[in-house]
Amino acid sequence: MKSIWQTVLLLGVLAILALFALGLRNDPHEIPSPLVNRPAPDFAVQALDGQPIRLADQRGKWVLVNFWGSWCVSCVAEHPYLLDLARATRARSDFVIIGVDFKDTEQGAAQFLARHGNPGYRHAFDPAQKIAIDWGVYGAPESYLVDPSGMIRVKQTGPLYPGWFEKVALPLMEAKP
Amino acid sequence: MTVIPIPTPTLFVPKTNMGSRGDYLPLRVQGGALLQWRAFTEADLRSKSAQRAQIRAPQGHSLGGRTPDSPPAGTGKWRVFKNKACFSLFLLLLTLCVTPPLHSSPRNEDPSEAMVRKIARELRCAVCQNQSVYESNSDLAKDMLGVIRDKVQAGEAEGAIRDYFFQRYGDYIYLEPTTEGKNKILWWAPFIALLLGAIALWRAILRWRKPSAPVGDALSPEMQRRIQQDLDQTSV
Repeated sequence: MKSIWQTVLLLGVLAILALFALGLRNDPHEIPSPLVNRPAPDFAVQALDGQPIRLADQRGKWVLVNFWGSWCVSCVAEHPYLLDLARATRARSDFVIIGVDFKDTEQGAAQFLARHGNPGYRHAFDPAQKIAIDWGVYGAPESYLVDPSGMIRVKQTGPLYPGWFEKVALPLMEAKP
Repeated sequence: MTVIPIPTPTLFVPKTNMGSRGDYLPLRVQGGALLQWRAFTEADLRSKSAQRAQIRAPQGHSLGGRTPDSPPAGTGKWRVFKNKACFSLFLLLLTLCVTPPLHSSPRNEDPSEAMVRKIARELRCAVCQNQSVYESNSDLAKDMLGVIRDKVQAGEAEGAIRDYFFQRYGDYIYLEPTTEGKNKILWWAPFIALLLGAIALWRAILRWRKPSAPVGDALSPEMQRRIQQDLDQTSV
């Protein structure tokens, strides 16, 4: 009788320790996005180049939607990879990158692109971060990979890293018939 | 004597940690008694002193027509001075009622703002983590407040707006977790733990209270005899 209770107690303590081990490794600043595997919220706004831009126009292609701002320090760190990625995927017909410049000024964005290099793809301009809130963005940079049917498949919180496309995006793109 | 009840004024006090939108919350001064003054009018005073003079007349007769503790009611100068003083004091105090509203800006917010506040207070700011969207000063929270405001003004229901944010930020967005799904564990675990603890405690108490077996029965006659012997020796 006594040994049963001791075993139960031991198991209980171990269970709590296991929960701690799992929970304490999570980053509380990283909020899991419920939008993954849901349809991407569409946007139709003015782009930084002054022309209208609409996400739904890219239906049928994989779209990397990258949220950034000239005020964002990590975006500077991420930028060289985006330049590389844009150059490397320019020839692909099934993949486009769209930037969303949010909580920013047109002047600030232009200065950022002039200083750190212009990757060449288009950017939606979202000064009141309406698109950002619509996409559940809470920091920058954040990136979403949208599949040809318009579903969000991956969310990357924080900068994209060298090799991200080959490691995360390509397997998904090639798995799709 | 007439008592003029002065309507309780509503003081406008700017609430601290408020955004720059210039919202002011009314702080209703509680207890109208605090500000209920008795208004003296000259006529009142005259009739009062006339009454006093009437009542005290028989007493005052033996004291030479004057009451010892009150100034002469009949002499005009002092009475006029007292009345004037009372009246100007009353006017002075009356200005207190007027000044606070003069200082504050009127509360002329949109009626839908109450709903915006209610929703924003229950949503968690995604950047600062432990503040509500309404209380936070972060840019994201301010823009979220803007989104809520737009949606309320567009006539969307409270539930729909809460759901909009839930769809995008998940469970995280509610300051108070919902009681659905996995969160049920969160809500019920403390009560289950309490129940288990109570059962364990009950069992332990039962065990403590169980009378222990009488010692004497288990002893052999030989042992009993020896104990008795020892007891007899020590008690002598």
